[in-house]
Amino acid sequence: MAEIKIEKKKTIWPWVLLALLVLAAIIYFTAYDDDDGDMDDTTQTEVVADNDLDSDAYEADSMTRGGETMALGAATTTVISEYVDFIKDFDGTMGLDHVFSHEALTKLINATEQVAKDVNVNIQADLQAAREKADFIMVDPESLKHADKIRAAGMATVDVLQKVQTQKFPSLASQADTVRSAVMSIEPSEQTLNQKKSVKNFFDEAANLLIQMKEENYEHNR
Amino acid sequence: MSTTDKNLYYLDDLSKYKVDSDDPDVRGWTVKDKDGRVVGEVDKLLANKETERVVYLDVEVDESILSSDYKPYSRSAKDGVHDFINEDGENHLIVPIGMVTLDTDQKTVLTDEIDHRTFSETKRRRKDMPVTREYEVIILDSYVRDDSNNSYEEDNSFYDRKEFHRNS
Repeated sequence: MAEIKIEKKKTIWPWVLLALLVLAAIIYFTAYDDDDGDMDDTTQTEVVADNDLDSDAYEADSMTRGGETMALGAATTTVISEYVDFIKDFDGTMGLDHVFSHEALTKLINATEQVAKDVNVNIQADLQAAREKADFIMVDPESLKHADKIRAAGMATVDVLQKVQTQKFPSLASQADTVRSAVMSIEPSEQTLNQKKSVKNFFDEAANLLIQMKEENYEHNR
Repeated sequence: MSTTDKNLYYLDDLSKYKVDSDDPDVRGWTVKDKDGRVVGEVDKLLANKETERVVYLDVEVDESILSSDYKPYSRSAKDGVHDFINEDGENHLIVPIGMVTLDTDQKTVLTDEIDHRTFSETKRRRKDMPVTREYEVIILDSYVRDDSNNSYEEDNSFYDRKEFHRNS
């Protein structure tokens, strides 16, 4: 009462052919992707001096793209925003004390430094000078004469900003000039109290320049 | 080697064929008689290429069959003329597929209609010998001792006999 059927064996070669085609497709696609991967791997090496900023602000995520123009990276825009937000909070009618201006300058210098790193302009020495001048504001806090120190620190910072602008953001020349004019209009011999507006104006114009840098693509290969 | 000119082949010789994936490959299974006594082991499968079905199980018989000394059964008188005996070395016989049931759990082939003695009286032949229609008739005569069954078909309709089919 049993039944045992027989059947034709299935030939193997169509499956071998299919497997070969699949393998060929895999090789083709992975080889294709590898080209893009090579581009992703190019990074720009920079000379970085030790400083007191967080190292993770220097994640060069902006360096992973090729092409002629690039936008500033996420880390840079963060540091810019820190500065912009800080001086926005100051509306100029309150006392402009040295703590504020020191902190504002520090944030401005930090933002400038980050931008320079991002666009690969070497300004470490110049920034160091600017920092020292900014820190000098905190020395002798009883003195009323901070304007000259603010001006000096501001000038050093503007030097750096303008260097970066000239090299990488040629279209922002006029705004850079505006910032320079603003810092030069701070009278070194006049008390800070009496020229709150000028000081604030300098900080505002610097903020504008940074914002414009953030929004522009800079020239990557200059 | 191929057997008769009537479409019966050892499955081993059909390179393009194999046992259907739904059915068991019973080669190597123990074969028992209707009383549950071991009579041998399935060695090969004989299949009809046209119907794509196994027709016979080629069984290598057990020592208990070989040592029982019965003369092979033959209905035909003419077979008494030449030596119709089971010689030494002739230890294979064939069993029609319709006369067995399969115990897949025990991997055993059960024959419900054939007892040990009948197996012993069935003419055997050497391993791998061709299966002729003549031999097929001999063994059917032995398994089905029905004197009224006087004629066998010559062609493939031979396999329409009930011995080759499931009982309905």
